[in-house]
Amino acid sequence: MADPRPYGARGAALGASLGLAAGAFVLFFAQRQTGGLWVEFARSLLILMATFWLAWGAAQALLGLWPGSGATPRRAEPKGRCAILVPVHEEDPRATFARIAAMDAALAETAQAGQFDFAILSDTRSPSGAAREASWYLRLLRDRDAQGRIFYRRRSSNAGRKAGNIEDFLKTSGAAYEFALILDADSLMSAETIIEMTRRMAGEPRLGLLQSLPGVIRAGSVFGRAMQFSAALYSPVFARGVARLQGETGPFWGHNAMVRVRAFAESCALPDLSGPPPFGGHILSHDYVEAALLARAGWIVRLDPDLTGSYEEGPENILAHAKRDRRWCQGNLQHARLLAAPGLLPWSRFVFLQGILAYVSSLFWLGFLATSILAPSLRVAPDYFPLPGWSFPVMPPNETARTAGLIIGVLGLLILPKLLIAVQAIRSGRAAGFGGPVRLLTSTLVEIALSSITAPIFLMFQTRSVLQVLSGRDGGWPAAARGEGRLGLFESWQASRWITVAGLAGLAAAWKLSPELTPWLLPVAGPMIAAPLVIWITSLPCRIPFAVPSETAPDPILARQESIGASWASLTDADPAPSHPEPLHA
Amino acid sequence: MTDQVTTRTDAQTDLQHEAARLGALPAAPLAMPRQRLEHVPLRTRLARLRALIAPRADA
Repeated sequence: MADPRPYGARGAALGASLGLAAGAFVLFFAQRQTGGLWVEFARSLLILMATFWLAWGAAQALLGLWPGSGATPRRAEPKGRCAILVPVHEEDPRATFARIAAMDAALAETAQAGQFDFAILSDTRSPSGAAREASWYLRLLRDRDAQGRIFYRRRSSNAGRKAGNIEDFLKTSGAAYEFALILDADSLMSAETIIEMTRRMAGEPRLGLLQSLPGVIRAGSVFGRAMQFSAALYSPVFARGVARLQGETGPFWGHNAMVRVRAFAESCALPDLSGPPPFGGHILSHDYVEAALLARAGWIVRLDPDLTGSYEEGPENILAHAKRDRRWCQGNLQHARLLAAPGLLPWSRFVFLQGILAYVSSLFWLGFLATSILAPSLRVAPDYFPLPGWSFPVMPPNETARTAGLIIGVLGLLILPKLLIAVQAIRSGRAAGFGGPVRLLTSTLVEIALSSITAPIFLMFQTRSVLQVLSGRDGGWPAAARGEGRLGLFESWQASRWITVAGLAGLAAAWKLSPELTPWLLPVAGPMIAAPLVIWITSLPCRIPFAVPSETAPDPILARQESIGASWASLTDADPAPSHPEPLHA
Repeated sequence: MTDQVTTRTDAQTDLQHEAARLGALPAAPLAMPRQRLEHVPLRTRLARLRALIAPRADA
């Protein structure tokens, strides 16, 4: 259960992060070259901001590793009903409805079977997509014999997008339910977890929202499986750290979370912000705002990382990830408008600021690299005898040593938490789910290498997103890219040639202006130059054995979904609705 | 050809009507008051105040 006053954890994490950032600033500025004072000050300031962000991430991991699991959450048998909401927008209905069929079948085998309804809330606009949905819905309904238990509604207008879709449901049918489990089209949850969430909600009447920790499943590409491994190994620890930091002002990630319908209805009808997008209009990252509004109204918002049996699917290639990240970037930067929103708790404001920093930090890094390349050309000749009367020469600091120190610091903050999490997994026996200690360590090292290669590419995509939003470009509401993510080399080249050009330009500038920095820039410029190759190769099917618990000891809900998916695989989109009304018992 | 397309479109429309009929959500309305997330600008407050006072001044 969340600590209602997590001030100690917050103080420790903030203090350590600020301390490290200030230390980096002082060390960097104190070691400045003679002349170019403002350039050196700007570089030191950029390193301060970037270090703070890295240290903040590391602090969350360390908090998550700290022993102790907190108090046991209170439970009670729920008296009301629960609606399981599945908002869809141009999704593949066969895959989405197979997940619903699996969850419905799993719930049907429990004593609480009658307490749950599903509502498929469609925002699909294309006529062909709507026709497919209708057809597959009828199949689902007949297979599960679920009329009056699995509902389907398609809106005539997409007002408010996903948040407006859920709001529309609550305004129409909300009074029939005590709780609502909000899912995404790719969400899958075990019946035990869903029931456990209703019990925890019933056991704590002040609990407005309970967030589970979704694990990533069904990844097939190199990139997807690395993300899946990373989510399985690191995320539970980071989530425990986040839960300790946030206490009762926890996060909402938009899906795989249960809300108390009355609390949500009273507190979470979002207004449009004044002005045009991307900063005005509809609130894009509505989940963070809804969490803040629930907290403003006095409700507890809690993340329980021990809630396993909660799954989602992740992007299968870097381009799909970058596309999703573009949307998140706009949503998080839009939160700048809400930093001073009336009545919010200070921690909610800080969470908004944290989201903004997550994206703006890419500008800090790029700014730092650019000023580092430019700095030598702005430098004046060194003065070896700056003090009058002092007969010993003062040597200028070594730029190479400074850069090496910086790289070691950055790698420490990025890699050390991952290694500590791997060691803890081995010590606690969690490694068994990852194929044993040796396989776990190998996978961790490969993941670290892979994420180091992809990091500069993400830095560029993120920088472009931030600049697009700051220049007023709205990203719209594209359908989520799901399914097989295999890309062609030409497609990868077309999407990332600008990164190659930027990498080559950066390296050429460094070679011309500060040749001693060139080797140190290679770990950043190299992957940038090779971006099309990296994007293409990481989208291919994975041969690296990234073992994860959802595969070594799979949850029965996964097998159930696979079985239903297989039974539907032979049906065509044109006519999935059965001519016979026999229900399928998966 | 046109007949085939028309027939398919009709069939799709029928399926959508059938899905909407069988999938109709339960009617149990709940109020959701719109939340305020922005401070009301001073100019707007003054305008509201003026609108409040104006009829009395006329009277």
